[in-house]
Amino acid sequence: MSSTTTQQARRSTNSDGPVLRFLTSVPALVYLFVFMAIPLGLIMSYAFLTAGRFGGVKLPFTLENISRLTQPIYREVLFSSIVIAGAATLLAFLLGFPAALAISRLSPTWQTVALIAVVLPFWTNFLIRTYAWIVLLNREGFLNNGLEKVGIAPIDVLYTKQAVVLGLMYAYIPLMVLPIYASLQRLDPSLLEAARNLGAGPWRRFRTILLPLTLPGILTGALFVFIPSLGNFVIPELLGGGNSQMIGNLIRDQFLKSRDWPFGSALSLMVLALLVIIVMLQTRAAKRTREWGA
Amino acid sequence: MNQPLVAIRDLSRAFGDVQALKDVSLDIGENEFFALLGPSGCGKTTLLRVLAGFEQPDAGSVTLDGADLLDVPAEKRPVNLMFQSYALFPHMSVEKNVAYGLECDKVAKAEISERVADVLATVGLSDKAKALPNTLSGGQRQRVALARAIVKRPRLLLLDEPLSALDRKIRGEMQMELKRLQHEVGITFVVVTHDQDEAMSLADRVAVMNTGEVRQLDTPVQLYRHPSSVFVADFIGTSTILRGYADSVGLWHTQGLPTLKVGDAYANAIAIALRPEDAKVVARTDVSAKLEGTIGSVFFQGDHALAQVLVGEQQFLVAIRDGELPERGAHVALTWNDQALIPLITE
Amino acid sequence: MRGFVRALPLWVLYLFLYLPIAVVVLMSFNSGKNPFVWEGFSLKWYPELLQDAEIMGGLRTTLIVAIGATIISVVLGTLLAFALERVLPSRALDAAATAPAIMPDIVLAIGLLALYTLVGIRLSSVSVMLAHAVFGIAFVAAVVRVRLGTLDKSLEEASRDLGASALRTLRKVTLPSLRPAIIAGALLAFTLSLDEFTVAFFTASPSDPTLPIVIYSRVRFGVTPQINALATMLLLVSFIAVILAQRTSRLADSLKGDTTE
Repeated sequence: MSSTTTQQARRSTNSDGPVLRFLTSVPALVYLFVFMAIPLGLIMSYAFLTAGRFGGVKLPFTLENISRLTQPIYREVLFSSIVIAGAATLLAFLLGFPAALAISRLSPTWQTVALIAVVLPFWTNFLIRTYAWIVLLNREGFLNNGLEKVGIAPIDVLYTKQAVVLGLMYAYIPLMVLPIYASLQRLDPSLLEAARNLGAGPWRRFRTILLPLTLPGILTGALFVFIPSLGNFVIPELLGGGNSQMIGNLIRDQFLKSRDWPFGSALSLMVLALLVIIVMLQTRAAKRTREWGA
Repeated sequence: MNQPLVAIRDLSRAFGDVQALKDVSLDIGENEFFALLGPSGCGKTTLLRVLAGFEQPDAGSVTLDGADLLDVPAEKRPVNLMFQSYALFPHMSVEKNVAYGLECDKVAKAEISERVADVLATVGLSDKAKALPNTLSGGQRQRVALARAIVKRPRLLLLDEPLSALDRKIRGEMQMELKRLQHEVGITFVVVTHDQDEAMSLADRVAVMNTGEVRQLDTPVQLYRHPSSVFVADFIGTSTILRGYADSVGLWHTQGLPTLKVGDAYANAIAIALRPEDAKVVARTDVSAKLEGTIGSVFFQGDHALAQVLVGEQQFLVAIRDGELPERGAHVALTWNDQALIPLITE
Repeated sequence: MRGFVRALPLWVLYLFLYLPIAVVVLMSFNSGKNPFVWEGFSLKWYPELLQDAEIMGGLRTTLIVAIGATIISVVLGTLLAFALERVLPSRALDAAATAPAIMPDIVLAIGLLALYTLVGIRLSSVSVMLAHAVFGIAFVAAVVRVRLGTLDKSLEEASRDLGASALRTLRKVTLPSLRPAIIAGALLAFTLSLDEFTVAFFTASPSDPTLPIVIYSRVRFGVTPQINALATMLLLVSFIAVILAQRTSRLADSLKGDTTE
């Protein structure tokens, strides 16, 4: 799609008049500004303010919240959050990539069905999906009942870090599959055939062709799994018991229990910083792919 | 041919209701420049993909150097393919693209750089070694694709419509390049194309295919001068086809035309073909005139012109090399050398 | 055979995704009180839901929020789609329109709480509604935009050529063609709001929770069969909404053939 012809086409509809232009672009933008940009700005600035008596914030500006982040307890939570979210993302990739590959090889009608089937669970209440795992994994739950029948001792999966990783991966894996699938669709299939013809086996084809050319999609998927996982507090709470505190839990506690909003905001800054890093990586990979003309 | 390099026997492949290949058998000799020629849907691409290993036939066998080829997985066959779209890896430089196949074979690094440099010199792209594919022109990209396939020294090099994506002028250059290359590296080339000019100018032997069958396998000269079927006569070059039959006294009958004198060789023919260059336009008063007709459209082709001559309902195509181009509607006559009439035995 | 092996990861994924859901649905029909042991088929938990005041209250609030958020999302989202696709295409705008999707919901949640506190807006179903519309706008805009991009411009040009004003053309020609996409976007925004927890948790009034919040407080104390029944109902609604959205607007196709990015 050449950008000049699209620009020309768009310019021709600009003769629709300034009224239309105002009507279409401004309302939504104003709304998003008020209800998204301003809240974001507030949080980013609250991180540098001091906690008010009964919640809320007050002056003076301070860097204390940021420096509190470096305390060992918080460093540990941060670290383990990243590890857990990272593990969930990795697992989502390990299952999601082959699944996306399998979908891209189906006939077009089945591809639609397969995609909807993957996305459907995502559009349901994630609380329900999380607690479904409780039903499955609980000590008296189905998994253990099944194991008992076969004669294996019940395993205590629930209320462990592993359960949290599993729950997070479960919640967000559809969002890993979709962007990878979209990337695969844009890939020229003759490239894989050429690689095969030149002697590349499946692993080499994956490593040298599939991976580099679908990297933007993979990073998008990673973004959609990693960041929400970091900020999630329900899953660590329900599936991890008291064992796994993640950033999400901390933030929620600061805002609703301890009422230390500035510190909660500082914690959010961490999440936002990681978000920005991954987005930048993804943008760079996407730009490179475009330069290749791939 | 003593031992053919590739022996294809009774190859069949169907896709649903469509029979893409019907008991195809042919031999390809070592060091040959071979062409599979035919209209789209004739099965040539399927045959190519079977040789490359991307399709498995329903029945039949293929041997390479006497050994069964079908059993060998695609990535292990000593057969390399130059794709119609070139399929250059967009994220790798020209060098890396060319080196790819050697890396798969786990060749030593030093040897890889040497062979890559060599082959890039052969195709004349040494100065583009570090360039990315999307910075190259069509002709350059094709040469990279070629280099990538040749560097592995395969037993068989398959080329899928190699010249179709190129401009006319570059096409001519590439044709000579390909011919020269094939000679220089001594690899057996198999070109798949729908363009008869391509096939006829490049190949030592051409297999003309239609609807999954090989209609005729011959050298270009033979195919042109002695097509065995109406299909081949029509597909290769231009000709006027007169359907009809020969009677017992050596006269040819085509509906709508007076009888024509032919020899005994035409007894089993279902049609005769006349190449435009074998026919001549003469004045109606000329003593050699055989049929009278009127000029229809005249197509100027540069070194000659093609004139339609309407004899009754039948249209003849005649080449005119010198003199004035006739005008539409002019009353003329046709003549030809009787030996130039080609008998066609099958459809 | 090879085809089956190739598709194996896909089957594993589906098993993984649907097994827990299947278990919940199954157990909602369990006659026994123990949510982990099957004792026989029964529908008794469903009518019980209707008796539960807290659940009914949560349902009412959720519906109000969802419908309100959907209306806002559809209006503003469609406008935004126009802006992006026709009037004012720009990278910055694109980023702004997709930002709600990548924004971590907890950050948006606390941000909105901060905003409401600062401005003095009392928490209620309206505060949640306004919050949900942020996501809703992004989704509706994305869905409508794709459809807008594939519309035949010549229809609109013909309408202008015949003398209709820009506004008229919009009303009579463009919007009707967009209807399926708008409906699909509305369904998605509705479902999103219905199921949304995190933002609602921070922006709802403590005395007027949405359904997901009610579920959350119940589940913290353990799994009960009533929850199973409620969950099944919600699942059903979500499933129907998404499938309807796909039917009306062939959403999956935009994923399949998308060459812009």
